Parts: sequence; structure tokens; C-alpha cells
Amino acid sequence: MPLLDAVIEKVTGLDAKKLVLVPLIVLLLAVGVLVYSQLAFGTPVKLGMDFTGGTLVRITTPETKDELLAKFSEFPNVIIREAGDEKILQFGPMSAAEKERLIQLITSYPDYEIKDVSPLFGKEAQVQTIKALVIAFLLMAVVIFIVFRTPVPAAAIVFCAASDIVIAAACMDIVHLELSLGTVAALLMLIGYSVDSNILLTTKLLRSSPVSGSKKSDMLKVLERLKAAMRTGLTMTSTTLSAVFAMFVVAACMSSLSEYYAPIPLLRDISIVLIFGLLADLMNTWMFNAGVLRFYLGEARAAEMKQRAGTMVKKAKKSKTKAAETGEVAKARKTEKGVKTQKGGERRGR
Amino acid sequence: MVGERGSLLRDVRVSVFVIFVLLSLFVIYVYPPPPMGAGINGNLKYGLDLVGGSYLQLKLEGVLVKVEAEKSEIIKHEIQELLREKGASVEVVAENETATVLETAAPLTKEELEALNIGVVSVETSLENATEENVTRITVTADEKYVVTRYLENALGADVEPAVYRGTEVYEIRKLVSKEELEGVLAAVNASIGRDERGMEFFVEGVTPETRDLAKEIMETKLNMLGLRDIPIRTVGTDIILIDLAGVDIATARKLVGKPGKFEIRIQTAGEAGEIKKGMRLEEIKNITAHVLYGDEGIASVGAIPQQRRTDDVERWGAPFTLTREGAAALRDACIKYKAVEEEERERHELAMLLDDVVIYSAPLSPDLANELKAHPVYNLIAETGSGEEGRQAAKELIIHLKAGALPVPVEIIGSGEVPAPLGEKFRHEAALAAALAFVLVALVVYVRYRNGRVVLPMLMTLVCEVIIILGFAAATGWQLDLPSVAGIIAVIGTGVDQLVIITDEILSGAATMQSAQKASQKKGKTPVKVYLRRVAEAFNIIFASAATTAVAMLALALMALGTLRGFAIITIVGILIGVLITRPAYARIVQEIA
Repeated sequence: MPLLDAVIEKVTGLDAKKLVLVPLIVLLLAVGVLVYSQLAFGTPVKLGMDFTGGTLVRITTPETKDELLAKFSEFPNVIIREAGDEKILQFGPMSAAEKERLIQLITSYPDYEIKDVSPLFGKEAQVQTIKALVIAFLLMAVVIFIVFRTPVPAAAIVFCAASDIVIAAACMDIVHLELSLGTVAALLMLIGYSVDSNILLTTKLLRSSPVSGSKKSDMLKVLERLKAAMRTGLTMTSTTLSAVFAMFVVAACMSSLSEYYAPIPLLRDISIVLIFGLLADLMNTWMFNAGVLRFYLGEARAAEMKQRAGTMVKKAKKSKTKAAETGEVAKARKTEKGVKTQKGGERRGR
Repeated sequence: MVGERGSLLRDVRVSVFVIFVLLSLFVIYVYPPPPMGAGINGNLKYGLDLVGGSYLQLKLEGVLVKVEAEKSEIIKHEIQELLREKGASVEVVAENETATVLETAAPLTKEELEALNIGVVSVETSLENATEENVTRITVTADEKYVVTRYLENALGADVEPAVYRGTEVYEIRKLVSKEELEGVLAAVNASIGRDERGMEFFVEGVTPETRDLAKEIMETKLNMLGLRDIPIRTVGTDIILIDLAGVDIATARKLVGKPGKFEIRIQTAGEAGEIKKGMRLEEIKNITAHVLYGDEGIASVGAIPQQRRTDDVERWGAPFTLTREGAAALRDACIKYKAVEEEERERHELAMLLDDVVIYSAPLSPDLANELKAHPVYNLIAETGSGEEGRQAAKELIIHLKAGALPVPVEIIGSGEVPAPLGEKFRHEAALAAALAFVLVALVVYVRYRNGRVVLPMLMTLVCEVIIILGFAAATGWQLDLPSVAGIIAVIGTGVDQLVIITDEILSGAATMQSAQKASQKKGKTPVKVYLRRVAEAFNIIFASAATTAVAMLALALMALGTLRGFAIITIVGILIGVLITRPAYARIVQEIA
């Protein structure tokens, strides 16, 4: 695939530092959007009816918006949106008696859908959503740290997942998508999805393999592996994106093509959030995480080289006199020293 | 290269996979035999957002509270209230666990004291001598629990039951009261809210699990009587009940289980004829009526179907019921006491029937009934509900409420909704379309990437089989596929193919390296198969790690108590497990064969 290869060449050809910078800037912008929303509306993402309570009604009627407004004026906070003959009416919280009356009115239409959430339920949903997000994120981080055991790569993955969610949430603000239970599920799903390609990348790059003598050829090997991982990873994300895109097309667009189809808000909301999140993940994985890993591997590889060289000398000396046990300790000490020296050497070199 | 072609089916991983696919198809289409006309759906069940129906989320209203109170304080307070007009005071003179003795200067009758409803009372009036004042000695026999219960009931106007909750003796107030209100009521008798072992005030909104289960049972009975079987009623915590009602419209659902269904008969004591109207609330008529009986206590049995009566060319529907001996006696006594049986008074003393404190019927006794009541107790009555289809429907609902009894606690509908059947059908078709389109797009992407039918076909077959196994799981467990489940299946298609891509890439590149390494391997000690296996192992490491992260994230969603999106979470988790344990290993084996 020439296009895929061209993209891979382009991205891997860039400087690691520049690669890391772009996702960070995007993340900062996203945080800015969330902070703005928090200051302006009181929550980072606008809360939908699932969390605030209220009544949502969908009816098919030729009546105009104004006619409907007059008809339903006795109910609190009526908001009417229309798409052709399909009208969506949203009401604020109301008394039980009012609700009975509203239901009576609505059920007289031939085609209707009702959803009613009490503010109490919404409060509960808010608490549980925060709990679920925190628990899911922590569990994911624990799994990642157990799998990789090395702090820098593991932290990079967790950071990417967090960034994906923040960017997806900011995109929700930008397209005026409210937080519903469906979008919460999508954000949670993102935790799982976004980690996939990162795990692939990190596993492939960290794979231990014989180190050749020269630093240059090692870096080339890392790039080679990065390219292979990217081929697999980009294919993965594009299959996922196309599955989610199919969901979006059917849930959101089909209804405008034919009378027969009705929009499915739940699937539409889930797919929109996943699309944003997956796009953010492409950037975070192949720019941020890849950049961090290249940087990290450059350092680590250099340290390892020094260590090997050190061990070699040590071994030659030790083999004459001391037992293997004490040799281990000395080796470890020497390694530490080696790392320090190498770092110092590099700094001086710059 | 790794094995002979014929050996593929003999491989454990592949045969397990094939067995699971066949088993799933068997469960969906063969056994248990799918219902007639199920067609392609087989044994699959759909959630109500895909077939139409309504759902209710109910909160049982109640408070569990521990009370620190002195029995004698409460008894004294209650009698003092009684004496307020008489300007006398009462003192406690003796007390033990079972009885409290009090003395007052004012005369009090046994009836007055019994009306307080705080225990068994006996009264002695001692005329010590003519010049001194009378002393009334009152003995109240009751234990503390009883006294506190009655006091709270009188003061709060709610049912109160002593109960045990998490090992603590508490009082279950079957109504939502605020802490402040309760504290006020308790302060009047120098009592307070008790503390738990950590020193926190024991005041919990909710009901005991026993009460919740009782409420659930009554709801089940009511729904069964409506002709609905196997209604899934789930409880969350001790006070939330979730009900899905396939094929029931929201108005009926709300009327049937969205309220307690408490039936009461009252009699008009004052006011004009026709003053009580249908739809009035108890508060509006409380002062002009007196309580006669409650449905739970006074009614022995209820007719099975609404009864029709034709008067003046209007057919009226009603719920026939039979009173108990006590109920019939109470009715006769009340009618005679308030002169409802007298011809000239009849019109001004209507008999009112209330459901959940709302008047559903009010009318004077018919002359025949009045005469009958004069002579002897009447057992059979009809609660009229109105004319036409509406009246018949209301009668049907009333019969259900009378038969199943009232819920022990009031309920608040905290969420409800309805997807009408035609819309559900639309959603079902669209969901299938979305899944199919997702599959086609995924196939396209995979084909563009590999351009090799020998790789792409097994991949897509594996994906289809994976979905079949998930559906087989759903059919076997009776899981209802709803919209969130469909989203879950599409998500599984998306992640499933990801993992197949990882395996394919590892094995293909592994095969390539192997060929080039073949010659080199003679020199080095490493065998090509070793390199190859390491590649597959690495692919599985990646897959396990990413499956684990998705699973834990979804676990958090599945555990969210309100459970609206449990379908999404569970299908995703099940899909991941099936993928990792069954389909991936088989696929890896199959691709090895091809590579």
C-alpha cells in the first residue's frame, strides 16, 4: 500500500521532539476548551438529560414548532427541535400530575417515543459515572504497569489514554454533544480501544534483541520496528474506525435518506465520541508515544551499551579471583556508574 | 509447512472453535425449539428498545432510623395532649418493662385513651372522698417498640414498622420524611435519633431488603395479572426497582406499578350532597369524611373480571369485591352511625372509594342497599369506575390492585420511557444494518491492506464465527439484546479484527524472516521454528494485554448500579473473552497453515 507507506515514512522521518510537541499542544487546547466550559456552564462537558433529569419526547407530526410550543406551553422549559416531520420536545422536571397529563397528550400521537428521567436518578447517575470513569482508568493503569513493568513506557501509555479522553470530551463540547449515558460508555470504551495500539507499539519497540556494536544501527532497527508496528497499528485503527463509522452512518444519516429509517441517538452518540477518540489516539500513539519511546530507547540503549562494555571488563578481572555472587553486586554497582557516566558524556557532547 | 493440511481439523484449538460455532448455531436454531415464526431470529430475545415497550425505574420511599426514646415520656406526652383542653396535667407514678402507670386529676374515659392507640389501657377512677379531687389512675400496657411505633405513626401520618437492618434495631418509616421533620417529632418527647457504633446518626433513606422484596413480589403479582409473564424486575440497592415491560404502554405501566394501589372506603360525615367529586384528593375531603376500611384489611376476595351494569341506558363498569366479616361490620356500623341508611339523609352521606388517596368513586347508597344494610351486614359490593372502555380499563386495574394488595411503601417514578413497537422494529432493522455495514467496511479495509484472499477470507470467517458465538451465548443465557448490546457487538467486530491483524502481521512477517533465516540458521544454533513461535507468543502478549485493559474498563461500566448500559459492557467483555480464549488461538493456527 503506497499511501500507508508514504504516511509511515513521513511520520517516522520527523524529529522525535517535534513529534511529541504536536499532541501536547492539542491536549493543551482541549484542556482549555474543558476549562472554558467549566467556567461558563459549570461542568467540563455539558450534561445531558440522563444527568440533569427531565422528559424527552419524540413525535412525528406535521404541526409546526410554534403550534407545538403553544400546545405544550403549560409544561416547564419546553425546548423543541425539528427534523422534517420529526419533532423532539424536551421538558424540564415536572410534577407527577403534569407528567400524567403530558403522557396522555403524547400517547395520542400515532408515532412517539418517551424518555423520562427524574433529577434524583440524574444525580445518582452523575456519582456513578465519575466512579466508573475513575475505577476504569485506575484499573487500566494497573494492568499497563503490570504488563510493562518499566515506568517510562507504561506512563506514556496511561498518559495517551488520558489525553484521548480529554480530547474526545473537548470535541464533544465543540460539536455541542451532551454527556449522556451512551457517551459515557463510549469514553470508557475509549480507555480500552486507545490502549490497544499503544500496547502494540510499546511491545514491539521494547522487544529485547541482540544489540549490535553501533548506536546508529540500533536506532535504525528501532525505526524499522516502529514502521512495522505502524503498519499493523494503522490497519487496526482504520478497521475500528470503519466499524464505528458504519454505526454512525446508520444511526445518524440514514433517516435523512429515507422515511423508513429513524435516527438512533444512543448509537449515534457512542459512534461520534469513538470517532473523535480514535482520531486523537492515532495522533497520540504514533506521534506522542512513538516520540517518547524513541527518545527513551535512545537513552536506554546508550546506557545498555556502556553497561555491556563495563561488564566485559569486569568479567575478565573477576574470573581470576572472586566468586560469581559478589560479582553480581559489583556488576550492578558498575552498571549504575556506567549509566551516569554515559549521561554525563552525552550532555557534554551537546 | 508447520503441519499437513489434513491435520488442521485435528488440532485442539481449531476443533474447540468449530465445536463452539456449531454449539451456538444449535442453541440459536435447534434446541430449545425456537418459537413459531421466529425465522432468522431463532431463540434470540430482544430488549424492549428493539421490540417496543416501556420501562420504569422506581424508588421505594422510606426511612430507616434508630430511635433513642423513653417509653413513659411518649405515653405522658400523648395523654398530656389529650388533657390540654381540660387544663390538667398527668404524672408518671410507676413504670416497668411491660406497663406504665400514670395519674391525673382530670376525668378520662377508657375510650378516649384507646383512641390514642398506644397500648392496652385500663382506667381506675378513685373517689377518695367527696371533698378532694378525683384521681384517675391509668395503666398502659405496652412495650417500648410498640409505643414508639404508634407514636411515630400518629405524629408522621405514615406506616411505621420495627425492623432489623444490618444488625441494628430500627424503625422503618414507610414514607419519605426529612431528618429535620423527624428530629422535631422526636424532640417533642425528649427522644433523639440513635447513633451507630461509629457514632454516626442512624438515619438511612431506603427500606429494608425484606420490604423491598415484598414490594417486588406485589409488583410481580400485579404484572402477572395483566397477563405478562417473566417480567424482568431487577432491584438495585435497597430502594431502587427497575422493570422492563415489553408490549405495555407507558401510561398503563405507570398506573399499575408506579403507585402503591392503596384502596380505602370513606363515608361522608358533613357537607352537601354531591360535594365529593371523582378525582379529589384525600386532603380535600378529610374533614367531611370518616374512614371506614382499607382494602388490605376489609376485603376478603375480589371478582376476577370487571362487572358491567346498565343504569339509565349507560353501561357502567365496576370491580366487584367481597368484604370480610370485620369489614362488613365496620361498613354497616359507619353507615348507621352517620345515618347514610336513612332515606332523607342518604344523599348527604355518600360512600367514597379512594385509590392512593384519590377519589375514584363517590355516590350515595342505593335505596335497596340502604334497606339491606339496615337489616344486616352486606358483604358484596362493587366499586364503580365509569363507563365505556376507559371505565372497563380502570376497573381492570382496580381489580389488580385489590387482589395483589397495596405496596408496603409509596413509590416515586424516577425514570420511565417507552419505545412503541413500530419504532422498535425500525431500530431492530437499523441495528442489523449497522452491524452488516460495519462488517462490509471492515472487510474492505482488510482487503485493501492485504490484497490476498487467502488471508482475508479466513479473517472474515473468524469474525463472523465470533459474532455467532456471542449470539449463541446470548441465546443460551436468555440475554435480551438491546441497542447497547448491538453497539457492543459492533465494538467487538472493531476490536476483534484488530487482534486478527496483529496475529496476521506477526505470522506473515515471521514467515518471511523464517525463509531468509533458514539458510542462516544452519550456522547459528537457533531453529527457525523457535523464532516463529516467539513471534506468535508476542502477538498473543499484545492481545492479552489489550483485552485485559478493555475488559477492566468495561467491568467498571457493568458495575454501574443503574445498569442502563450493562448490555454494552457485558457483550463487550464476553466478546473479548470468546476472542482471546476461543477464536484467536484457532485463527493463529489456521493462518500458520496458510502462510
